[in-house]
Amino acid sequence: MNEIKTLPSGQPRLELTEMRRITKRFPGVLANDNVDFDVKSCEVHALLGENGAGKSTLMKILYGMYHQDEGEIFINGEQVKITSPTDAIKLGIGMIHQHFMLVDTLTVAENVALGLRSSRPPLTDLDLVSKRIIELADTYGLKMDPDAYVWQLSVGQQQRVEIIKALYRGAALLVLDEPTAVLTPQEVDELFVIMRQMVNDGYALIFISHKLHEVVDISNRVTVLRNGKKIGTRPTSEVTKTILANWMVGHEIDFITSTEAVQRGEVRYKLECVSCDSDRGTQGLCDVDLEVYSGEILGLAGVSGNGQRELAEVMAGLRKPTSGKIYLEGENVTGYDPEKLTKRMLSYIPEERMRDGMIGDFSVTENMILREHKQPKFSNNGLLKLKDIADHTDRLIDQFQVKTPSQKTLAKSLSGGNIQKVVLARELSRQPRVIIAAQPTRGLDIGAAEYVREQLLEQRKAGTAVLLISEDLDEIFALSDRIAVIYEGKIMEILNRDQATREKVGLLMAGVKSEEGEEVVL
Amino acid sequence: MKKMYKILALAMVLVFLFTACAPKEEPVVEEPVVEEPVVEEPEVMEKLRIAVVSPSSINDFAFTQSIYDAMIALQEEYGEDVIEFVYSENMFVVDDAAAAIRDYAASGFDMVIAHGSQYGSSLQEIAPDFPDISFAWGTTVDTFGIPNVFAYEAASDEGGFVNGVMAALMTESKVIGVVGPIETGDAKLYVDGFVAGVKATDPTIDVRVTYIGSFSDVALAAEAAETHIAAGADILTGTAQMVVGAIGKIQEAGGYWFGTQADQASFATDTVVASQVYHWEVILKEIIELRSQGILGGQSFIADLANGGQVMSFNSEIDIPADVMAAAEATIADIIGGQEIEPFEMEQLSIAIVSPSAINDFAFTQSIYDAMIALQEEYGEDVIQFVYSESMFVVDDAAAAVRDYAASGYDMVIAHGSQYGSSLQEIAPDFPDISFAWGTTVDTFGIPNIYAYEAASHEGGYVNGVMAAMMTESKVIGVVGPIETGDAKLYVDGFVAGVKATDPTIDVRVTYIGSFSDVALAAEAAETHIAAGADILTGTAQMVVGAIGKIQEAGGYWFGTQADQASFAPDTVVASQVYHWEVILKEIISLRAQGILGGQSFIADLANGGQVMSFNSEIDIPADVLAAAEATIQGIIDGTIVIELP
Amino acid sequence: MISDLFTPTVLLGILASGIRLATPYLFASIGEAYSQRSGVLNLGVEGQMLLGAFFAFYIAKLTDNLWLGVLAGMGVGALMGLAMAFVTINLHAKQGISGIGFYLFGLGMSNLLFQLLVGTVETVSGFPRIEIPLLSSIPWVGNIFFNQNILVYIAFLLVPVSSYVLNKTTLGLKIRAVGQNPEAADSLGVSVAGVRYFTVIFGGTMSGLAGASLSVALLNVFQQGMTAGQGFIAVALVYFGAWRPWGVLAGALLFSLVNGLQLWIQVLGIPIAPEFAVMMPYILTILVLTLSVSKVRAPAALTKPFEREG
Repeated sequence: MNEIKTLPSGQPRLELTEMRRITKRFPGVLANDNVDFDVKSCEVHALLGENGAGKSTLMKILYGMYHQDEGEIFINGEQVKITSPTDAIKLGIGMIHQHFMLVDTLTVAENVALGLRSSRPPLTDLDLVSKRIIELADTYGLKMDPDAYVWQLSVGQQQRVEIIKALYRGAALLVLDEPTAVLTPQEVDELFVIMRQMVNDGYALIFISHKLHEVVDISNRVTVLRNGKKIGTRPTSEVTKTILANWMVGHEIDFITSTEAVQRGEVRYKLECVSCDSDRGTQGLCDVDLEVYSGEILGLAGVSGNGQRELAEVMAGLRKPTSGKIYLEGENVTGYDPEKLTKRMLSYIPEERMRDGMIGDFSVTENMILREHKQPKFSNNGLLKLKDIADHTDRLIDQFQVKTPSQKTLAKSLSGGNIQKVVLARELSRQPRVIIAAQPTRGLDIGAAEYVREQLLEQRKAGTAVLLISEDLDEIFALSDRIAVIYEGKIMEILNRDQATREKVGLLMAGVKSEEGEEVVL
Repeated sequence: MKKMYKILALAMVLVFLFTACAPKEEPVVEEPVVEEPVVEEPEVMEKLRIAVVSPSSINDFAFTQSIYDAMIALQEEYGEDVIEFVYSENMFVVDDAAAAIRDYAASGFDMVIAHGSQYGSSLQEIAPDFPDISFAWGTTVDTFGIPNVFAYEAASDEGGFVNGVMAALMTESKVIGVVGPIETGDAKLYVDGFVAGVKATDPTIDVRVTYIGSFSDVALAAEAAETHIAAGADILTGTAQMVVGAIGKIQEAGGYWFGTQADQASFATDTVVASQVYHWEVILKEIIELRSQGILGGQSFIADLANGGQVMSFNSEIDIPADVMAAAEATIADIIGGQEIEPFEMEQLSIAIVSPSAINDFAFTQSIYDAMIALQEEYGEDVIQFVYSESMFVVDDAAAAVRDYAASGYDMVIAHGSQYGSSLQEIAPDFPDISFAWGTTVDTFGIPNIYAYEAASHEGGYVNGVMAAMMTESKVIGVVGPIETGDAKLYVDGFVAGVKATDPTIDVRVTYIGSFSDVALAAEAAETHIAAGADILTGTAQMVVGAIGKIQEAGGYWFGTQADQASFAPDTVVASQVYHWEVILKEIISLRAQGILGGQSFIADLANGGQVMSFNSEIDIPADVLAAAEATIQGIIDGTIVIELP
Repeated sequence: MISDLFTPTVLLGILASGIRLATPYLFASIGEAYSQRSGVLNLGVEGQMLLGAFFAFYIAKLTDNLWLGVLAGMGVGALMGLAMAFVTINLHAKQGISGIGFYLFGLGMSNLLFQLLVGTVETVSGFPRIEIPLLSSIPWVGNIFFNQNILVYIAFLLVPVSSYVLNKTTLGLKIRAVGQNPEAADSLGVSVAGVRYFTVIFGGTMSGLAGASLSVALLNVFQQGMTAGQGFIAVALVYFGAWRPWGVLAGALLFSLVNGLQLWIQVLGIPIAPEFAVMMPYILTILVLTLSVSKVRAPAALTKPFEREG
């Protein structure tokens, strides 16, 4: 008879949680196909797979948000039924969603107390809740102000509120759904510290990710899913990144880099001392000078929220600069709207591809001609040339390998990678002079991301001027001819690829000019 | 069938009861004696045996009596030895009548008279079986093309017209009632002629026609007469045998009756002025003449004034004014001389109303709704048909409604709201055959099919102001208006002028709340006035119901306008200026009848009765105030008071 | 002339007007504030008020019992709230257009029933004033604040009560969470639909009560269309009050006081065009809304239907 071990909170541990032969079907898709998965206390079990591999579905089943069509769940050998998040919470299962489930107008304490039985109904007992939050936070060396409003907190702090929320509810098993996607490298390190301590305390953690190095870094065991099927489960110590990558995509992949030398041409796009406001009315860009040459990829590195979005929008004509001048091939295009810039062959791959890049309720075909529907090749005095458009779409679907059931399929029902391929097809097929690519591979699986990168390199070869905005330093280093670093709306410095090191760029991203030589851990 | 017998028997009993109860005026009621056919030796003229089948009794003072009298007249002329006749009366069951006709034909009568238009189809079957016998059928002009059927009819519209002319000259109340049976045949002809005669003489007279739906329901005819009398009629007429009930009622009321079909003077000697009497013997003589030439049928005859088949009989016991007699004689002469009688037809008029508030708003919209009801009462619901769209405060919606009504064929569309003007200006030219009326305004835009109407609401406002000035104790009076424009402004200005003319020291405070519908704000404006010392309030538009309640609570007085608001707060509303748009609408209707579809504007004022001051009898208005109000009204009407508006 | 305004009679008169006019707004706006805080924009307030006003009037007239009338007004408001909740929460109908639909329904239905059942404008003897001993004898203002009918007291008491419920109870916490991030609330086991049903029905009930306060307490008549846009003003006052009961109180009082002021301006004959005077409360409301809009955030999930994925 095993002695029941408890967590520091006094909750019993979940020694072994098993999901057996889980199958889940969505209309037209087999999301999970007979998947076995288990997690023990005192371990981090990484769940690895490309987007759409079925990782989130499997975990949402465990958390009671979906119901499996087949298969059972066992906790410590006993079968359990989980029909709602409430059931999961009762069993000691918590989940940290990729999109935080926090109400930003409420305080930390209110967020934690929400949905819990108060000790003195019908009133709330926020004072008691606050006390307990501080106790829990102290256990893991976290600083937390229970009375702070969530909107006042940084992304990393909000994630900790999510963790506290789960722990407060007695979670002994925590599912972390892509928890690092929104964090800076430093915040990732801090998260890992917390995770390691939790494992030592007896928690069971499930870590969902598609970033290989993080998986290798943090997990004890790793399970790979591909196309809804389990490929395998191994102790992390027994696998390498390459093996995992092969399992994920099903074939050997190489990291593409820009090796081919291309002769840089003339200045295509130029910003002179451009400033603009942000959405909140504060300064978004401050005196930005930037030149993008024909036949080069200029990489823009920076921590998210330092003016990348504003810069992209100013360059695409979506945001009006408050001062400064913009030139496209020598012509002053300051204040031009997107339609005029379109005519001058500027292409824009927006960061929020679902929101700004396409219309979800339009078909693939319609999305393909969003930018050029007024051109004579697609319309005749306002009437669409449907036959020509269909032919054009067929060519692009073929050329850009878009996986879609038909031309008529609504864009929103495509996977993330295919949506981005539609955007790329639309933006790149028109032989643009300038491309602004904002976070073009974010959220894409490895295969799709590689495809996007290849396409950008193709454009460089064709002599197009490319601005690549990315928060993925690996990507910046792999593709860029020059690297510009943005911090608080200012361009810190522009480095040639051969002068740039990760340390240098990292310091610049943190706002430290290289001369000052402060040490920054990346 | 059994039931029919019972009903008729009951009707007959009623007739006798009634005649028995009537004042002893020596009614000449012959006992229905079936005379034995007297067989005499043939002399100069060929002996003629005639059988008459008729639906009512021979002494019905009406239809059957007319043929009976004709037979008697024939006998007198040719001698009883030549004209031998039998009759079957009360044959209201057509099958029974048909059997009688066949029996008479089979038993060798020379001629069978089927005296009832309902006997037609029976005759059509019977006549061909007896080709040697003549049949006569009335009242109709149709012989079915059968060679042994004669048809006869009376031009009863002629006598009706004469009666109408006389009635029009003799009525004092200018209201005349008609009691008809069913709107068909001889009865319709008479009634239409009568109405035409009245209208030709004096179109302003109100002729109200009721058809009671029965030839025999004496009680209902009496009731119809009572209704006409209650509605102000002093002269009645009617046709068919059930009218005896009606004659008694008008006699009781001291009015006059005009009769038809038979001389009804003997029935009520002090009441029946004139009767159109049928003299079928004129027709029958022609028929007898033709028979003697061997012609057994195939021709039709009309009894009229010219051929003496109709005769006007004037009651000598009544002192008919000379000019009436002269007019009657002249009319008869004209008709004989060939004057056509144009049946007067009140044009059927379908009217649609679009108004901004609800029909029971105690104010603006209710005033037009009440006017339409008044018109319907006057002309009859069959003549004036109206529909309405209320609460059309969104002008675009109202415009759509106006256009819909115009497009769906209404004769006239009333846009009852000054805000509808520009919409009407666009719509009216698209429907040139339809009349539009727009109020309240004086502007027709120069469009030929728009009438404009307005109320001189400052007049009633002035009268209210005079009264309020005399009744206030605090010397502070409050006014709750909607928006400073149009009718509301006119009323308020008139009211203020009336107060100031009476007592310039009185403080009249005017608020416009900016809404026609915000009851709560109107109430609050009233509260404010009361707090500022007002003990009398007035106001206009439909939201004032809130204000009336507040002044009622405070124990003050209210003066109303647009509709009679006394019923809403009987202890508070002293007087109301009431709009009677029907005065204007009647003018518009008579213009329409002349083919004028618009282009004129009208003002309802105290002088023309389009505005009436209604004083609340439940409030003890001091005599001097009432006298001052009456004097003010008179002064406004005769022009001695001129209201100075700002 | 302007100086005429600064006499005790006038200032107290304006205050009295403000309190009376504010009463229906308070009921309707607080109900609407609850509904909006949970993420449901109910534009049918006007219709709910009209039907509430009618039923309160009609039942009070029929039974001679004012409280039965008030209950009927609240009940019909609650039923309309229930219907609104069903179409917007279960059927995911667009909230804006559904609200307009319920407004039109209430408008038409109250007109129809009025014509069928009552026919003409009549009065009912409404709630009497209740004088609160001692307080009502406070010089100047005692009579204004403490000599009102029962519904006026209830309307003003509703402000602290509803504020307390919203901020200090678990129910209030759920309402605020559901209106801001229904997904988060749902993930914590809060029934989003349940909370919204509650607030929308509560909002309808309060709108019905607002109508009842007009027809059986303040005006004591029913006239077709008598709310004259007050239901829409009530919705605007929720924005004005930044979705907080105390803010709503401030808005309702400000709007009503300025309305009282403009009436006095006209009564005193101060030479301001009446057209401008009647616009004053609206202009002021628009000004305050414009100036405060940058600081105030609406509930993030306002007008957004919630549906759990999968």
